[in-house]
Amino acid sequence: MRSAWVALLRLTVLVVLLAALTACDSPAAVPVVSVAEPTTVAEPAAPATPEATAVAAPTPTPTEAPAPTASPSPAPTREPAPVRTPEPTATPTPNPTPTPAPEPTPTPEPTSEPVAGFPLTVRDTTGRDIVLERPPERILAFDSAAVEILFAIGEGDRIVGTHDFVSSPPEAESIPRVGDAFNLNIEAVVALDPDLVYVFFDRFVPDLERAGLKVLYIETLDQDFVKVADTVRLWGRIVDAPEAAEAVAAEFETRVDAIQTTMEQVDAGPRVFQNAGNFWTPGGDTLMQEVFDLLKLENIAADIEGYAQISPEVVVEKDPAVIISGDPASISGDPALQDVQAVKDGAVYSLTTDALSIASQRFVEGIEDLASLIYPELFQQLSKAA
Amino acid sequence: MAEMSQTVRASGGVGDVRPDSAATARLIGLRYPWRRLVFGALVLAVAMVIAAGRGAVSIPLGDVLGVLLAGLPGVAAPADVPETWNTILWQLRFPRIVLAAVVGGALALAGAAYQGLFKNPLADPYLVGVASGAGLGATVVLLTGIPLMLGAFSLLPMAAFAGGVLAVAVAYLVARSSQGTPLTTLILAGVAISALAGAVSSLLLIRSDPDLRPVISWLLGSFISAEWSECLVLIAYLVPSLGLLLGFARVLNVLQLSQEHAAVLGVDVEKVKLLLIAAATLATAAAVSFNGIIGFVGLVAPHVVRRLWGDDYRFILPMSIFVGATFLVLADTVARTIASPAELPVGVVTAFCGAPFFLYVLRRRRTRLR
Repeated sequence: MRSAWVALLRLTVLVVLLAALTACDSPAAVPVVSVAEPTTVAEPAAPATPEATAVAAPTPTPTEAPAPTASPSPAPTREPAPVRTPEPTATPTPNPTPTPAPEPTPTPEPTSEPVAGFPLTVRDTTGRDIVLERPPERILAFDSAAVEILFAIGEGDRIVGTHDFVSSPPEAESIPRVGDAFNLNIEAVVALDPDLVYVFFDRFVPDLERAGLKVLYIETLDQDFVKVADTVRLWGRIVDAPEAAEAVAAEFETRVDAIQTTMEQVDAGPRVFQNAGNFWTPGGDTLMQEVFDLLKLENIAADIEGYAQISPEVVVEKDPAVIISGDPASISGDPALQDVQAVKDGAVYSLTTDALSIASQRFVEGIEDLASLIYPELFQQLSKAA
Repeated sequence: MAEMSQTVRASGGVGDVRPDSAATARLIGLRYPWRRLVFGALVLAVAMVIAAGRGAVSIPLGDVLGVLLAGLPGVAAPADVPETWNTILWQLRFPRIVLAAVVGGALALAGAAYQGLFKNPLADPYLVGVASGAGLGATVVLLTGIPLMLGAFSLLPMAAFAGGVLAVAVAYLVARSSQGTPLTTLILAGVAISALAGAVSSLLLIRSDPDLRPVISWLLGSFISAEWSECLVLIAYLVPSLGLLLGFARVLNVLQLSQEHAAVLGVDVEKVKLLLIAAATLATAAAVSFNGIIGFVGLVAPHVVRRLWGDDYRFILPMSIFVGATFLVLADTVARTIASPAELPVGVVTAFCGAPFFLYVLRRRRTRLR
């Protein structure tokens, strides 16, 4: 019996190892590959780039495109991402300047002509100064808010790659994806040949930099949502479109101010409970709390930190007059919540957009959306105007 | 403990054929310890009432009892209790406590049956792959955009149940051969299936939308969405398999001898294995299907019973139900009060209490083997 257990233990270890290897195809495998042979990865990628620019000419040759990607290395199979690169470039996206590729094709400006305001120094979240010699033309924007902001200021065509969960604006759909929110395929990133990689979390920063990429890491905004305007202005400076950015930022601020002014007519709003699913709810130190404060709503979960599951009985006890939920039917149909004022009054609302989950200029739309649900008579004109 | 199991082993070796010694008389059940069972049931009842008074909203025990008794026909509701308390108790806490008790009892009973069948006190109801299979079923439903509701039925518990049963069925079929089903092979197959199902779940997790909170709270187990309807469905599911398991108590006693002895004594070992595994799997899969994977209850409860009261499965099985139910009711009370008004997944609490206990048992076992 004893030896059986030893055998069991060995097999467990073996199976778990195997499972780990199969499960983590990219997160584990990719860094190893890129560390071990950074040059082999980069080199086959380089020929891919002129190809991509060549494809920008009339006829897209999708059959040829896979060839370079087939060569790099027999590593992860999720490689197709870079293969798709030619497609969006082939579609009528105006590609302002081709990449600083080794081939001497149409790249006169890169090194010479200085741009006003450049070199630009940007401080990242860790306090490092990142120096941009000139406005990046090929941005890998690994962040929903960054993609939305770049499109809003009319510079969306600089984005060469992003992650799987970016869903707005509609034009962003054709951008190649290089990973989901947790994983990033560094080979795919390198193959896209970006001149700036923007990430909202720091996990892959060292790996990206080892691959010779310029990386800007700025943590997702998690408090003080008015700072969205500053983020917009920062992007305006980075891509050398300060006027467009200023317009977007100013509009954001104006609309927030307008909400604030309108709210002066309200002394105290109703008690609110936001159900983010199965009683997960935002606490007092979240962006949502700031929205609630602006709209003078009393969050029944204000003494929770971050997002947490709240006891349903607290919801019954605090008796919110408004409930916001992605799935209103689950709230209205919950037998335990039948005596809650919001359910009795039919004040269980569902937000119409995901704007409040992404800290971009659309955030204010989300606030207006919520405001017009709760104060329809006050905010009708405002939402119509917008 | 060592001395006690010595006695049982000695008596068990001959006792089932020659019931003449005092120890054997105890084993066969001339003096079945009914009082202890009643005691266990009473402790559970007290724990449930105390649990009903605790929570984010604190309610005095007198009012809890008043509201509870008002549920009986012909008893008037206490006048001075706020209506919200009535709602909180009847719609939230009572169903939740009953559910915790039912799930805890089912997991403990299944664990006890497995410990008997595998003749290993470290076996738990998830040994052959139920948990990972159920976890995979739940993950698939929660993450792949399959609509959660199928008409009036929630798909999540069905998928979890199916995943759990399927995982064990595969493990069993892999382990089975013409000579029977060696238990070691079954465990190994279960480990492999678990690893595979776990890997697929992890793959789905890292490939999915950033909002993983629903999946993670399911995988850790939580009673936050308990409702009466869930309790009823679960009880309807559990009663037959629990009955079957309880009926196997004598056979489990015989199985504590070698399988050859059991066969000589007229036990169809292969059939017993299949029935026990099937019943324990159904009970476990049902128990985890609504509320997620709650660890350590099925391991710790039967173990405590065995340590305190000896190795007779006719007592271990029913008593494990009460101990497991009490443990889970109390663990859930901690889960919903310790970070109030926020809640913790109950699986975290059982792991915090259960894991150190498990390590202690391992340690004890090692010194005893020497």
